[in-house]
Amino acid sequence: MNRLVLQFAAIASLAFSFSCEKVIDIPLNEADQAIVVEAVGRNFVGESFIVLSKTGSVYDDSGFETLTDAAVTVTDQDGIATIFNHDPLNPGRYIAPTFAATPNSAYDLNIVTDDLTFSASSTTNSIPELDSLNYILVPPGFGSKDTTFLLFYNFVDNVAETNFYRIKAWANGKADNNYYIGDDVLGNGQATSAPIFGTEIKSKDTVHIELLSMDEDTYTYLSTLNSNINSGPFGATPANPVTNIDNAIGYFGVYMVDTMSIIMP
Amino acid sequence: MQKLLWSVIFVFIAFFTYGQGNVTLSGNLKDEETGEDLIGARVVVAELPGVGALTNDYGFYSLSIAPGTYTVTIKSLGYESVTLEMDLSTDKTYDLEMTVEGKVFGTVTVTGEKLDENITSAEMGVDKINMKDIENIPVLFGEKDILKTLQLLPGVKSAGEGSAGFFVRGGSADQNLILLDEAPVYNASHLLGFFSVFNSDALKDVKLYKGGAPAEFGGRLSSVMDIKMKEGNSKRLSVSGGLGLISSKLTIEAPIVKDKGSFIVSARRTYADIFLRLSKDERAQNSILYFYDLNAKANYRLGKKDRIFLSGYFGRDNFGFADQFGFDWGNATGTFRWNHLYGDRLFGNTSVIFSNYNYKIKFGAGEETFQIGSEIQDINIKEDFDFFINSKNTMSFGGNIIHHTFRPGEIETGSDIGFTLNDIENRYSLESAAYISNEQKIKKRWKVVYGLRYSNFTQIGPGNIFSYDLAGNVTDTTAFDDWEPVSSYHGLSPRLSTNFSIDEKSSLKASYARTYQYIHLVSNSTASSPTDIWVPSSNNIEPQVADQVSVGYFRNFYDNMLEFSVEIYYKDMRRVIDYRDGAEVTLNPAVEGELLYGIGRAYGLELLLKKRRGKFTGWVSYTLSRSERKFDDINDGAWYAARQDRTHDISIVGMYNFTDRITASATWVYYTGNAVTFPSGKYSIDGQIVNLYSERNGYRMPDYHRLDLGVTLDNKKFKTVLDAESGKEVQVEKRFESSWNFSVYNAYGRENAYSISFQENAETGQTEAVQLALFKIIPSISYNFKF
Repeated sequence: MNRLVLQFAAIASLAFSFSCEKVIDIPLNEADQAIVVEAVGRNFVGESFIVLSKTGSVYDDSGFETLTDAAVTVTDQDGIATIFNHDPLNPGRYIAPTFAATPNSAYDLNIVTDDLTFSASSTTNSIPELDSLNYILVPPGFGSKDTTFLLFYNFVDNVAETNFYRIKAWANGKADNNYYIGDDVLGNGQATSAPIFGTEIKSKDTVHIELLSMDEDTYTYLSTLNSNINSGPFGATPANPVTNIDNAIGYFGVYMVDTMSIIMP
Repeated sequence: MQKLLWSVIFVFIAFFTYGQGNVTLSGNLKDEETGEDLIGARVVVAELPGVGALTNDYGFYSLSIAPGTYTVTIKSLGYESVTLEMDLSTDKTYDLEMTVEGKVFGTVTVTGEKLDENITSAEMGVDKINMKDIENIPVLFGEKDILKTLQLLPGVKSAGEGSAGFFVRGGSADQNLILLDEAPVYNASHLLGFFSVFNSDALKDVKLYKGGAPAEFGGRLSSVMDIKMKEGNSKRLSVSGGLGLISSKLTIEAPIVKDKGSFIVSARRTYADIFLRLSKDERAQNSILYFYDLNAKANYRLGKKDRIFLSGYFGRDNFGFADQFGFDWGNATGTFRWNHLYGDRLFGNTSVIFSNYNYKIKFGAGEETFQIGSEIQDINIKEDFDFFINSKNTMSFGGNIIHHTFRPGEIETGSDIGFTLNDIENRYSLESAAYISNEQKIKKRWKVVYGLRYSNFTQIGPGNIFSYDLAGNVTDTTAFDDWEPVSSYHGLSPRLSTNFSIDEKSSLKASYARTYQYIHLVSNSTASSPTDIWVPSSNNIEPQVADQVSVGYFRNFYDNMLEFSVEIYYKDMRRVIDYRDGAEVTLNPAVEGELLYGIGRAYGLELLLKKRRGKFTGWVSYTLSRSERKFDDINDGAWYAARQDRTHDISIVGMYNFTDRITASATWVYYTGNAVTFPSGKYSIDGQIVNLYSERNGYRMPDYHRLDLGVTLDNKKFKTVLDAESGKEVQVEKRFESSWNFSVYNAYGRENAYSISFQENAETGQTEAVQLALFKIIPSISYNFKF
């Protein structure tokens, strides 16, 4: 919230001012190469995946190395283990075509590479429910020459749980890169209605919305990841996201997801 | 504890008053033209070298000496000295209105008075700003600003390009106590830090204590900035104003009853939003962006012994986009003061002080709105006494109690929004202090100011108070009733400063001060922001404590035309605050769990060479310093450079009076770049390229340097008229004065880095370091008038 306001302020005040940008040369120290784990569980069959890669140099753009020969398992609270196999079509990506996460469960992730072992755990709440999508017309002139739409998503928080949410949005298949995340600390059990403001939505666009519920560690990871990405002059002091994996970079999060799509008039 | 302190005070008074058959000379000193009180004017006695008195903040002086006939000289910086023979066989009251020096037609100010205050005073680590210099020194957009001018003095560092925020001797921005007529100003900047909230037209005197502040002040670790508003012209109606590039201002001052009371009202408003509407960019056209502020003050003399003052400030920033989004913030302060003279040697002042800072953010229009607000509010009752014991001792003592209210988050939703959110609970606390301080001339060449300040801070109910574990998670909640103490801290702050005059031209000074800070600014951003919130010391947060020692050598040359000083300081800080990585500070009820506690140290060398008189005036200041922090959870517990750590900091200020109508000025600043955190690697996750950081503040921004130029053209100050009696032409001072000011900020167009971000080039995909520079060459023009 803070960041949004400040970015907005910065944009408008700088638009009027006399700023200029240029690319400069800054020599940087080289950090030791580390392993990055992106482990995502979802309640839809076959949509869960684990990506293993390595960190690279800031100025090196040849792509990131991947780990293709790790042993990856996800075990649920009943001790049932699912093996995620490497997908040769997507180097570094491990998949289990039949796996689907279930609500109110706990999962352990275990990754074994040649010389290292990583573990993490994640829990799930009930599956959230997107109630509806609605929109208001934005006449031309408010940042766009055309009539656009401000799309609102609506859902009701489960009062019995402590919940953490993320909203993801795609317009015509293109992802909105903003992190719409929030908790229910101030609005437990309340109905929420909020807009997707980061994507310009036009007439006839197909917009796909996902409502994801997650545990607190995953939420902390995403919110600190968001600070990391947005650490500008008005952002926080840059810091690495707070991980829930021992000895690695990245996170393990199991999401309960509800989806909804709309074609704009 | 407080009782003990009061007993000590009375014992002191009894001790110093005992056995004196002296007479007392006392009175008030004022400016002849405006009736403004003169602060720090000196009354000296020729027959008794080293004996004298200074006027206090209200222009009052008192001097006790043995009966006799004396040659008394009254002098004040910038005024003609007055010397008279006085028969002091009994107590005497002598008030004087002093004339501004150099009011001789067509000449430039010349004075024969010795300006050796810097050598003789025990004060050190104090920066004072001549309000006249502020008018001539070029600044961004021509908007003259005391906070920016202060940044040109040693030990005071700008918080960033064009910023009114400042750091003092390695401390952070929230460790500065900024007082406007005794009321704390919690957020001293407008427009995201580019302008200070102080309209210099309404100000009379500014003093910044960088260390060794008198015992009267407390509550912040690093510095005290004591700003006093003008009282208003008590002689006649006077109007002044200015039209600038981004703002206009108007000041009206007049007597309420001539020589008995006066008032001043000063207002300022920016009009950047008018330019925004002219912009072709629709986003800019629909943006709202302005600030305004209002200063008002009135005083009235009820009788010989009583005088009352009422002063206030109200300022607000407004920022928004069409009717979809609104963001406004600002301070309001109010001070009521009552001066009373208990006899001719004891001067008392009672103040009731109010201060409020709040911000509001509003989304949506009509009934579909969502509004967040946050606020800090103080009510302070303060009692101060100046006791002019004898010619060798001047004692100050007093105390105060502040009631703080903290409203971290109030949320209001419109009726159509369909949901409500809970407010974050308020926090309350009481902060009290008692102090005693004495300025003593021990020998003719040796002066000491010593004092003791006792302070107490008690967090009180009502509220549900959280406890946290080491990881910052809430472990327990306890409910407290109204006024029920939750946690309490107290501390004794000794203060000492001493001056030993080696000869008439040079002196050695030393000072020591301990300071406590009980309220803390929680800011998760690297720049200061209006949404930063203040939190009280509590069951989880202990007060910050600092000890500072400094020594200095002061020398004047060429009959006090040149002033030179060197000071070194060492500051040790404990329980300083930082944040967990990725801390959420806005609308977080458990914000205390996001804090980390560490220690800090700052040390440095400050040099100042100043030319005070002549056609050419100005100064060169240089600071060599370090400021470091140590936190268990940051950089593996190793010492690291604080953001404001800058090795070298140089300011050169020059002003040249070509004629009495043309003044040119130039400033050049250079400083080492701030310590900053840059990535040392990167990786891909969640469809994003993410930077990998390995060390907090392990890098430096590029060095900063900038030249500003300015010219002030005064219109003719005198007109020629025929004298009716003699028939000769004489020059008469014009009532209407006006001047044009032209300035250029960043004259050689240096692109100083405001921020550096590492981002991918949209076309090549290559990661690049992109530097953002805010202001290249910014010319500006302003017109000022006074009648």
